[in-house]
Amino acid sequence: MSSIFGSLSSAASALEAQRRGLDVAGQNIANVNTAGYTRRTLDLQERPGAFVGDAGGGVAVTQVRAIRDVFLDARIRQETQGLAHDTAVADAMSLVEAQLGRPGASLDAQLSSFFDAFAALADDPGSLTLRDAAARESDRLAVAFRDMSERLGDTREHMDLGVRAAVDEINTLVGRLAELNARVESARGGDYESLIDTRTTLLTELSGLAGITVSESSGTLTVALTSGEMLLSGAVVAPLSIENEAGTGLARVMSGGQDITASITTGTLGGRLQMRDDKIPGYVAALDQIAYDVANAVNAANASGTDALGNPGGILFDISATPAGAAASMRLTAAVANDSRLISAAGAGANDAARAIASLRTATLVNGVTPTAAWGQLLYRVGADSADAQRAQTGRQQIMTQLQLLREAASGVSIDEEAASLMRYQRAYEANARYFSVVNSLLDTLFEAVR
Amino acid sequence: MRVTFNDQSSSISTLQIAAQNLARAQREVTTGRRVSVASDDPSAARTIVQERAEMATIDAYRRSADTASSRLSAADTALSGIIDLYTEAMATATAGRGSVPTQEAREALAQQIRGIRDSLLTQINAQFAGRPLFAGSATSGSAYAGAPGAWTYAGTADTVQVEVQQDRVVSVTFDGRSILQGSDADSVLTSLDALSDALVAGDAAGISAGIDAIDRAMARVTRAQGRLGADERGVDDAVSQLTALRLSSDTRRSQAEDANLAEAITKLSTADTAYRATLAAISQQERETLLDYLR
Repeated sequence: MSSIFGSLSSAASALEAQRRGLDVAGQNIANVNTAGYTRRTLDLQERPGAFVGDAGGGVAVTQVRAIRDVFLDARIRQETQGLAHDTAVADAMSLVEAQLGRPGASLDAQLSSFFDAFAALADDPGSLTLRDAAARESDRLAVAFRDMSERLGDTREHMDLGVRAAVDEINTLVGRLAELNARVESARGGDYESLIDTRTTLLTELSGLAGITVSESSGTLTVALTSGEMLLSGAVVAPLSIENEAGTGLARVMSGGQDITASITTGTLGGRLQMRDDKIPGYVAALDQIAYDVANAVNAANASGTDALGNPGGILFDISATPAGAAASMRLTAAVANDSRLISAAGAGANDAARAIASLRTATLVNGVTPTAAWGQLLYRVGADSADAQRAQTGRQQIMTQLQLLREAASGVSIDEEAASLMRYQRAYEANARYFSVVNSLLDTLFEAVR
Repeated sequence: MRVTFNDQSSSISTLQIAAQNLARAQREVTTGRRVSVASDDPSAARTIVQERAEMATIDAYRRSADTASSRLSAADTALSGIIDLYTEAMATATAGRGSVPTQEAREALAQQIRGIRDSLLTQINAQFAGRPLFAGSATSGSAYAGAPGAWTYAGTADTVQVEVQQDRVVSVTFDGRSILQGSDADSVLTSLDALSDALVAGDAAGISAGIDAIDRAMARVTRAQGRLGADERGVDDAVSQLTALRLSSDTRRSQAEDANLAEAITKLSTADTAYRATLAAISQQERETLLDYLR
């Protein structure tokens, strides 16, 4: 220390540094519950002496540093894409599954009642009551197929709305990121670390919506979808857009005029697209096949007999010409609904037609299996898909929990640690204040001497 | 590793898992079912659907078999009645043969034959639950109608058949004409009319022809009863087989669907303990920090 005044300034720098330390601890404690906050530490550096024998000039604050693990942040983003996808699929699958109903008490039960009604009519073909019952059960069967198809269709529409919402959210997030980028580039001041915190949080949120890759070169952040389409470069935004598909009205995801719907496979958006374009249409097609095969076999059997008015039998169900959309189109014909005597169970061959319809329950109509077995297969498929989605989600969740623990270990605020820091800085402040007062009293002594 | 005690997500996800297990165990105990939605056990769900369909099929066959059984025994009774009537008619006609019976006695015998004919008409027109048994597939009316000398069959030649088991079909109505007429020129009703006339006239050839006709009718009705008896046995066989099949089907369904209650309750209490333990652990987590010791 070159002079006693130098000692004073050294003591002042130390007081300032310890106070800054207290501030940092205070800031950490204040943000202990803030999502995305990374803990800060104060970097101090000694001021060197000016010549041999000089003790040094005190302490300098070099920076307030955020403890961040960029690799972990990237891993979390990566897992978030998968987890969000699995969660979207698992949630939607539980919905689909609930709509299919409990095994043994859904469409399969209705199929059994339908065949039962025709078996009873075959036992007593002269009974008008049993005819009416057969007509009613036929109507209920058609309604059951239509309802099931409608419910699956509703879920698909629900997924479509989800797709649109996710695209909107992606655009909003990309917009906010662009804004942040501009601020990060211009202001490398005190708000730098907090801007980076916010940006990391937004990027994680964005990767939950769709798979993204993030790269940064010379301060410019570039975000692209995993399939390569650019979303953001620095402050320049390339938003996604929605176009309605001709015919179905379903949303197609567009980027720069290109349809990129098929290439989005991860994130919530990917999960919803998978449900909308792959899973649910598959289930609907299986349901349609059952409706189509049952309705046509029943129609053929009824047409082979004679109705109670003595005329050759007609068809029982109106059904689409191809399996596509069959379940939604299945209807008891208006003629039979108005007059159950049109069901074939009389005249020549007596109850042959009714018996033939009743025995369709054990006929291998639908892709080589009975109608109820085909329903069982559909139920199995949905159940297995749902169980798979739940398993995948649970697995990812565990990985995610571990990653978050790791991130917390690196960047999280520990109250115990901050309490210790408070103590340390407080004590240091007190000791430096003591040093200051000692130097001050030395000055007093000097002033006394010269008076 | 640095531990901060701040990360709630891991404790919350642990709590979630414990809560899910508890909810599932509760559902199993309260519903008594292992499988409530397909994803609980997809292959069990498929088994449940198949076995329930199988049971519904068996139940439908059993209902058919029950109806068939009642109808067949009603028809059996009627056919037995017809056999008794033929036997009586045969004895009556035989008594009128030769020169011993007086004209008065033969007239009395003729009267008896007409009575037998009326009883036969009643038996062949027997109904079950409002449907004629011997009129083929006709669902109403009588099998035979008309007046003495002009009896006509109002039924059809085909019959109502009922499936009592897969590929086992029994007729529950009968073609009355094949029983009363067969390949004869006239029905036995007309033959009995002719027989009573022959008795009154003392026409030996006519009486012989009448006896022959009754003989042939007896053979036809006995054959019909034999076939019916075989069908009845077939229905009984079917019912006992169906009962066994249903039992095994229900066992398979139960294995797939029903919760083992003892196991489910044990699982519930384990899940409950785990849930409480998780709650207790989380509540302990942040109770104290260094701040509590700095004064």
